[in-house]
Amino acid sequence: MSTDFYTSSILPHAGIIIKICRAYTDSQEDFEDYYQEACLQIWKSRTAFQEKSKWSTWIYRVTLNVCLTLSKKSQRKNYTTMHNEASVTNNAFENEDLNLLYDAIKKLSEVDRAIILLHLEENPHKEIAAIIGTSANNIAVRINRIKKQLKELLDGKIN
Amino acid sequence: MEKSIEKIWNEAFINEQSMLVPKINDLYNQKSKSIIHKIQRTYEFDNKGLLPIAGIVAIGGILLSETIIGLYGTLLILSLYYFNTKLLSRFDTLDVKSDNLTYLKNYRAIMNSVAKATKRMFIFILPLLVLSIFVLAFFVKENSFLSKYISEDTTLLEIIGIGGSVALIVSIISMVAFKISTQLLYGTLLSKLNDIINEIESLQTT
Repeated sequence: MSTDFYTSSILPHAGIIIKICRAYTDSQEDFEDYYQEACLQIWKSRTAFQEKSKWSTWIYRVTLNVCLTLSKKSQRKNYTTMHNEASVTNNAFENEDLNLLYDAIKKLSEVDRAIILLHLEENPHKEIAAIIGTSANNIAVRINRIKKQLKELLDGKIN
Repeated sequence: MEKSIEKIWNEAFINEQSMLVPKINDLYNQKSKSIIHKIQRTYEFDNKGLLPIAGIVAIGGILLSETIIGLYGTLLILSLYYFNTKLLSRFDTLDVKSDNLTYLKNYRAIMNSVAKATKRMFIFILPLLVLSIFVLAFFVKENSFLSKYISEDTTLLEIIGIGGSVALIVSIISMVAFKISTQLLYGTLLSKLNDIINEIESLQTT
């Protein structure tokens, strides 16, 4: 991957990649692996990007695919993750409420995780639907259900 | 819970630009380790699989009262195991301190040389060993399962002729079996190894 491509096309969107990878990993090592693999896949798939959507949407799509694939692979290997909310070290994750939210998000199904992350990043339902491959109505219903689920998981933990 | 999840999210990432970005490094080291580990395990599994077969041939030979042929077969299989082990020891000569691309390319070169040697063994040596069983059966015909097919008048030359024909068939079957088993066991792994090598090369040229 050229440094130019990384600096100009990936780095400005690194936040998106970091936020998504954080939701699918429990250790710093895995987090960095997922991040690197996502960057690599974005670079490799750059020629497939047809500018029908925004570049950031493309990054969401590729990063989510990488996270879903890698987390499925690690599940197949009976990989047992150690629950450790402070295991991914990044100054962005020093916020206690955020870590609790991430812990709750990690308890969701893989697809629900993707949907809520896209929602939290203020993507419109139509765009989330296009990324996930379902209808906007379905996304609206699922977001409500996921938020309810998260509220239950976080109940009493956050003031 | 008073804060909405959206509020928690937005407050936490209010200063997104200050986020620590992981460095891009070592990805291919990990990928390479994983694929090499898988290939080595497959080679070991493939080779060690010969040991129980050798045991089965020995026991089968004894149970069928074909002790000499059985033990000879076992000896041949154990020789094959030894030959394979020697072939696989070529991987130990690789310089682990070399860079990733060089290591993977050298590893692939050894894989190809092992495949060539195994192919030669399957096509030429295995049929010769089959022929040697016929010759052995000729000399121990009273005690051999082949005795019913070998009359008193059969000469050694005739046995070599029959054994040679069988060996030729074995050679053809071995060639097909080698191609199929290699594709099944190592096809995907070799293609993954090639992909990694191509990716690293393309990363270095871009």
